[in-house]
Amino acid sequence: MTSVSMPETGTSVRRTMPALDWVLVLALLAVGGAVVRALVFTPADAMLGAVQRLLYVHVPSAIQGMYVACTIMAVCGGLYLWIKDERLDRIAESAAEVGFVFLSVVLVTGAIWGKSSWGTAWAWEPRLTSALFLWFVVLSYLVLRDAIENREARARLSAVLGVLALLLVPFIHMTVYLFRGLHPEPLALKPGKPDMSPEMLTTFLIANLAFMFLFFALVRVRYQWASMRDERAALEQA
Amino acid sequence: MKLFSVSQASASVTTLRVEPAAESYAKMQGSLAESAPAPQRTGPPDTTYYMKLGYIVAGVIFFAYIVLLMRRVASVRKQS
Repeated sequence: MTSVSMPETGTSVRRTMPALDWVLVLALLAVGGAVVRALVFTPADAMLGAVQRLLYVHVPSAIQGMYVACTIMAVCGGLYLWIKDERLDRIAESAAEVGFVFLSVVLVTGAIWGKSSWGTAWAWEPRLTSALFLWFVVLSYLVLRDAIENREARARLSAVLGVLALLLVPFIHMTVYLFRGLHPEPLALKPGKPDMSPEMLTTFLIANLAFMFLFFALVRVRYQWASMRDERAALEQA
Repeated sequence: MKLFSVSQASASVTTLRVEPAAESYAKMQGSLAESAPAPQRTGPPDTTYYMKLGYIVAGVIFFAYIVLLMRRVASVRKQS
């Protein structure tokens, strides 16, 4: 437990910053359970073999990194531009960084899966290229934040970039329908029934919940750290 | 491969003796059976290596980020 006094208000804010966050530990256990279920208790695909089990990491990471993280970046960024609350900026920043990690996992596991199934780790086809483009946009969001000293300008400019990043997401989702490419169409995020056996679908849903839990647990820790960092910076300036 | 052969035994009548197709096919099958590899295993391809590689790399990325986050948290705790 640490005590930080805010110079602008004169009040003392007590914040907890444990060495190991129990929510994060629970999230890691949930992901571990989902992975064990995927590797041990879920049958492999009849056509692709064992590599199809990468689905339970690749797709949940894509959902968190692309849909959830970019939505949080854009919504919190847009709200920041409106009400100028620094907490919104910190949430957007935290979601962007954690989303960047998830997007990196998507690109790497996708390349490994592609090497096995397509014979090549990378192809300049619409889905892969647009996902790589989003990865660069989120990376530029983080680099931009690091490069600007002024907190207000940093929050304002990165909020605009966060809103722009979200505009890419529907386009990336539709690439498999709009263009001919190697990447298959979604198995679950589509109208109609998912193209999976009941065991695979159950594991897929569990993996999605577990990775969503991990995403928010990481964002929570990242947000707490950013709050402490900003308060310390405010104290140093005072 | 010669599937059909012309017999010149009765040149006066010029008859054609056609080797029975079944006999020729049996010979071909026999020669193929001698050189053919063992029948391949049916079922999905063995892609376990790629599955393991994918899970390990994903685990390393998540682990590295969590370590980075914990180091930041430890740094903040040390300053306070």
